[in-house]
Amino acid sequence: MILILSLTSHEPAFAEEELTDGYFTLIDEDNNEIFHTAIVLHPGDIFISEDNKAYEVVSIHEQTAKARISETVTLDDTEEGSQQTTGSRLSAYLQVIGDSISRIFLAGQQQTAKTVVIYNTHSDESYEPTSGTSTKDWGDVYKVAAAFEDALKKHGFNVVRATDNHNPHDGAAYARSRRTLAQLLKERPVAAFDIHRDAVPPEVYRTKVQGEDVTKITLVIGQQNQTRGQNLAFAKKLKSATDSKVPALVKGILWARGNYNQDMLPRAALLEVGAHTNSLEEAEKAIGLFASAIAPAILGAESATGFQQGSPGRSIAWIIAILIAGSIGYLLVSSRKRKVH
Amino acid sequence: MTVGLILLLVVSVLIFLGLAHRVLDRMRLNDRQALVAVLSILIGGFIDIPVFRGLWTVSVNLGGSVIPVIIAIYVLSRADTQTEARRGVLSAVATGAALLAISKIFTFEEGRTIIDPIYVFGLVAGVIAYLLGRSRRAAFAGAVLGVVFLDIAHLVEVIIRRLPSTVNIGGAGAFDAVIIAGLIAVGFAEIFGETMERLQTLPDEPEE
Repeated sequence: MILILSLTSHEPAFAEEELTDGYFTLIDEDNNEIFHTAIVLHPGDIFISEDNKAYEVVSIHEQTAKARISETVTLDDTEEGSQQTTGSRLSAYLQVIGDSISRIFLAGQQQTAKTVVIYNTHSDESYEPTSGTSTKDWGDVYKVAAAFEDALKKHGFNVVRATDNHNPHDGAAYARSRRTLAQLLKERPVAAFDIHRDAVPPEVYRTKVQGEDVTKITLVIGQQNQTRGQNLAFAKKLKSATDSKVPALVKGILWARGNYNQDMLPRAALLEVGAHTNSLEEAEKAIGLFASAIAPAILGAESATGFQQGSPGRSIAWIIAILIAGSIGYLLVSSRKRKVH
Repeated sequence: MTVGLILLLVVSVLIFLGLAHRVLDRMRLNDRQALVAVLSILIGGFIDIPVFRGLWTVSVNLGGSVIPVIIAIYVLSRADTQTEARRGVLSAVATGAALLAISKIFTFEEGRTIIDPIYVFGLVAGVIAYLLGRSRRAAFAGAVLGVVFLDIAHLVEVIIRRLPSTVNIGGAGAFDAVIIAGLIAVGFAEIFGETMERLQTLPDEPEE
């Protein structure tokens, strides 16, 4: 047991350590402050800043993460498919298996508009200036998700937003929201968004767009899943699209430890829309601007769980069908044998 | 449910090839029953039965909880001795408690996760259930029931704290955990249990 736990976590993160009073500061080699976040940083995490510099965390001292610039990222040269590793390919195959089976249950349903799915893993997250509290049973992040839904619908998307509540905010919240996402995947979305908010001082996320106060948005992508390459490419695409329309709205991309259920599809992103110290209105405006900026980028995407004619997915679907048929055949044959005996 | 699904497919291939025969035999299952079990878990994974709608939305997943629980109870009911059955129940309770503790102690927040909770829960459940259950039957039942206990504990918690929540017992995630846990428990019993038995058996004693 201890062995397993030590294998699964280098630094056990205890619930009581949750950074409600403090936050991490990412500094570069010259001690310039780059980024602040309540997300716990680890060596190896990569933060892609507003100006597309990739900072890799090399050491942690208390709540300060020292980083070195590893490269300047070019956002547009990343084809989503080009980052495939064996793991991501395997994951894509598994995706197809799930999709093939779910198709059996969705037979006859035709889709016209591109579907985007939205949900909230941390159901309690709220904005203090608006609600007077940073957490409540039905957090303000649901309202941000609703604003995102409305904005995407205006751009012609079919949006399916889950209002499932994944309380309490504990270690099993992502395991619970995984079920919600699994349900949402039956809609065959082109992309999935999990809406959160960060926990840092207001100025970290506050910015002005056309004279109005709005929050910035950080995209969080998990490093620990087979589809990480595709998800990172997707996040870069979103940032690139936003940078060209609303510069500085996206604060950066944090490529952090974790999975965040992003193994379930190649175009999944976790959004930190402002912090608990910003107002709900600022966050709602930000997500509206973000939706308008990213719409063209997602419109060009194929169904995230779908597969094309002649793709390996088809063969996998056949293998599954043969396996199921084989099982039934085996059962029939073995029951006949029994009768003979 | 990708990991759970692929494991189920591997298991069905093993059953086809007759490689799981000996393990299944010890669990008092024949190949036919095992295939029916695998197929019904596979298909049942897509079926959620709504139980309650209100402050809490409660549903039960057929393949992730109902069918595995039925199999676990069946396997336990065929235990050799009462002690073995009791050990299976004990192992289930201990596994459930350990998983609950992990979900409370460890936070799988953004940036905190080393490994996805689905794998952690499955791995821990499998190992604890094996250590306490020992026999394949008790270990399997302990692992499967322990994972389902975690979901039930969540339901009890949100009811007591009157927290609005969606509770899907055995849904995606738990589905994977149930399968990972069950297979690890049986696998450990098969590999370590059998090896220990061989090591402890004197050469002139007839093997089981």
